[in-house]
Amino acid sequence: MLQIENLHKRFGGLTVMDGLNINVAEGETRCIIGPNGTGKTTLFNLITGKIKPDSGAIKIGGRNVVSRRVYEIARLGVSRKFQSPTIFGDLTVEDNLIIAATGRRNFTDLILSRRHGAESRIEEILEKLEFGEFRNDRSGDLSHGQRQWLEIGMVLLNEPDLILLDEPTAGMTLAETARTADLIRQVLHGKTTLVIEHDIAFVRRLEAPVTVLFRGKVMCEGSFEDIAEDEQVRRIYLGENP
Amino acid sequence: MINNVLYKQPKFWVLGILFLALCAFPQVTSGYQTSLLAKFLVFGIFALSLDLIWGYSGIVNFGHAIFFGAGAYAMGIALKYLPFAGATYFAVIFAILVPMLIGILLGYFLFYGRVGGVFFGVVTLALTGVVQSIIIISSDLTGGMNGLFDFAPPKLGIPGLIEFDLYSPTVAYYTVLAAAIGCYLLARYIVNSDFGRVIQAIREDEDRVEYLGYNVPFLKVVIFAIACGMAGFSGALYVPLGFISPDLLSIERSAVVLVWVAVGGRGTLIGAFVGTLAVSYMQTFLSDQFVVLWLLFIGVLAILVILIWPTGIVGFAKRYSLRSIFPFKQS
Repeated sequence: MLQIENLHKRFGGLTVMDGLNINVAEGETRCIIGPNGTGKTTLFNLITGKIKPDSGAIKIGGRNVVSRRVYEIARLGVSRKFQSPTIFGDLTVEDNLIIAATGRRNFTDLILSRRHGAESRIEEILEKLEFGEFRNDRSGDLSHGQRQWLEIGMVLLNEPDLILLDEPTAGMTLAETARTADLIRQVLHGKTTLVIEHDIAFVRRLEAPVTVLFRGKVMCEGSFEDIAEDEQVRRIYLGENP
Repeated sequence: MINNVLYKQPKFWVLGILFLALCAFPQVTSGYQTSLLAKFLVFGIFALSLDLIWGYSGIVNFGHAIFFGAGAYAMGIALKYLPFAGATYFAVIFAILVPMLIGILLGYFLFYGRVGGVFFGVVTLALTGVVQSIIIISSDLTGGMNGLFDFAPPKLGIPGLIEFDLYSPTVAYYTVLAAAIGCYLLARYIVNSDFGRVIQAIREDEDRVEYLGYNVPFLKVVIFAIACGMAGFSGALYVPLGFISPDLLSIERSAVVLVWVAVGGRGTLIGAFVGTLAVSYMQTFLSDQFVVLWLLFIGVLAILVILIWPTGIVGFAKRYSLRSIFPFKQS
């Protein structure tokens, strides 16, 4: 589904991607961890076309997308959740979901409000998120956790083939984090997903293979248990002195 | 059943009474008052077009009068060079298309070039001067500083059968009233459509919208072109009511339309009309009383409204609801 081959990116004198290779299979959930400043969010910016790599290839469903624009890559089925909740605060919860559900329509469909059956998907998401009573509320008035979930709902409604989640539990309480992990496992089941996360408890709960990034390269890959055992990872990331 | 609706919805009462009052207006007032209100309704359409881009899409346009003026000039020039009966209709279409085309060109280069926010405003401000100069220089076509006046009088109806002279205040008034209602309904349809939702989302966070698969610059060009076309249409309607001169494209006119929308309440559509009528009538009254100082009063009013009621008159009325004024509303 997603193949990243020998990706390089420099910002001035700073090398952020130094020959990165990642392969994510169709339907796989993959966790990406790594210390701060190691290029995790940059990786998402590169995949979504926000910034262009200096060299290397990013293939989504076999197609190299490095020269495409953000909305074109989104239309190929890449949907992204940002680190801090990025929703349209002045619009209602339902309007946020309608906008997210219909991103690939042409202009005629937009002006005539033709949604091609998206209504039932929106109802389904409202139900899964238990958002029914808030549907007509201003989304900016929701709590932090609810806004995170709303954005996850928006990402799902965008009919993605590849989902990128950047710290979906940032700023959440323990209970909210647990619920988010369950939500992701439940609703993202069978979808190709990349998750950046710092919260080790969350990563464990997700039960997904983990890739450790370090200085723009993959340091190691494996199950959570393997990674947690790895000496090098413990040293650079889990903060344990050997 | 109808009674029931009216009982529950004071809005219907208010709109119904307002509509009847507007229809009866020319019958009970002088020709002067009729053309004055017609002129203010034209300005209302102009303000409405600004609200579409400023209030709903967050596009700051400090040169919106360009499109109003372009519409008026396009109408005048078309009337002058199209000698046949029924030319008015073509002139109006021309007056919509010319500003739209300017809008598309400007929007294409600026929106695709990612020029946004205040920078867009600055470019439009500079463009005001450019367009005004072009009009003054091209005096063969536009009449230069003297303005454009020697064109055939605009007429509506069916040529040869039944014709209405738009220079009659009553004809102009009803035409403008119908146009204002039409433009309002069109704008309402647009902002309530899914396109309107996306436009408002672009106002909130352009990048986020793009990540959802929308071609943001294209959608901005579209809403901008619609607003420019509507501004041009209001310029065309202004022709029988006023005088076509380079003043129509002035920076003052671009500024005052911002005041109208801000006072009425941006992002509300109806606020464009409320603000325009309130400020324009006040201006008429004040400029009679205080020949020099009136502009100062308008300025102070604009500042006060923006400070005290940032959402404008309509936003304020919405928040504090009409319930207290109309006690018959249930629940």
